[in-house]
Amino acid sequence: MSEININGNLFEYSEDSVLTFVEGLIGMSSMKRAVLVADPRFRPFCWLASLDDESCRFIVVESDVAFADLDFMSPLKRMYETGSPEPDTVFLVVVTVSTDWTQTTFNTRAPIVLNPHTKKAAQVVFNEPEFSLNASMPE
Amino acid sequence: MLVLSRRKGEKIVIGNEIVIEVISAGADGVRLGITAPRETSVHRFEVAEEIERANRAAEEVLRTIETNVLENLAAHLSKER
Repeated sequence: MSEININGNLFEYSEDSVLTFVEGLIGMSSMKRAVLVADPRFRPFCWLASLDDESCRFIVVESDVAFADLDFMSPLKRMYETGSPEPDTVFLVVVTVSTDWTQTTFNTRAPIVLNPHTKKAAQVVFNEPEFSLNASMPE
Repeated sequence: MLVLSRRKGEKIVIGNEIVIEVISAGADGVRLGITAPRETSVHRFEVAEEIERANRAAEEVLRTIETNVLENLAAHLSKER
């Protein structure tokens, strides 16, 4: 097991859980390797923490948890000219936490798509109107 | 910056795999057809900029966030599940 420091707390991770972002995040091309860390204090949120840049940490949540009514798979399928995504593809929504937690927003428009088998991940952009850069807190 | 002149139907290639074709050009803009490997993402520049700003905002706020904010958020979402 290896350890990663996230905001002053150490978390363990195994090398085979490391995610690979071939292109990095959009506008953050240096983030190539990252780990998804479940912090028991913040469940169901997870940390997405870069192994390449110690300052690069995000809070993410699985789309099924926060936006179960929103269909993330259909727009992803439309991006494929041939073949189709893995049926168990995981969609992670990046959270913009606000110091007033009720004002926190969720970026459903540019989710992180993760293949749980290969651990390859990418940030995609959905142009459909039901997706938003700053969706409100699920009611 | 490299500047090239191209007409309708003409192409340019970037590297070995990315091909950009001028589909049409007129007063209201240029339509481009882009062929790229699947792992290469293609975005309108202003969209990529917007997502980058959102990513940076999401990252920056976490540098100074109080733990109780995240705990409250998690409690709220857990309750809604």
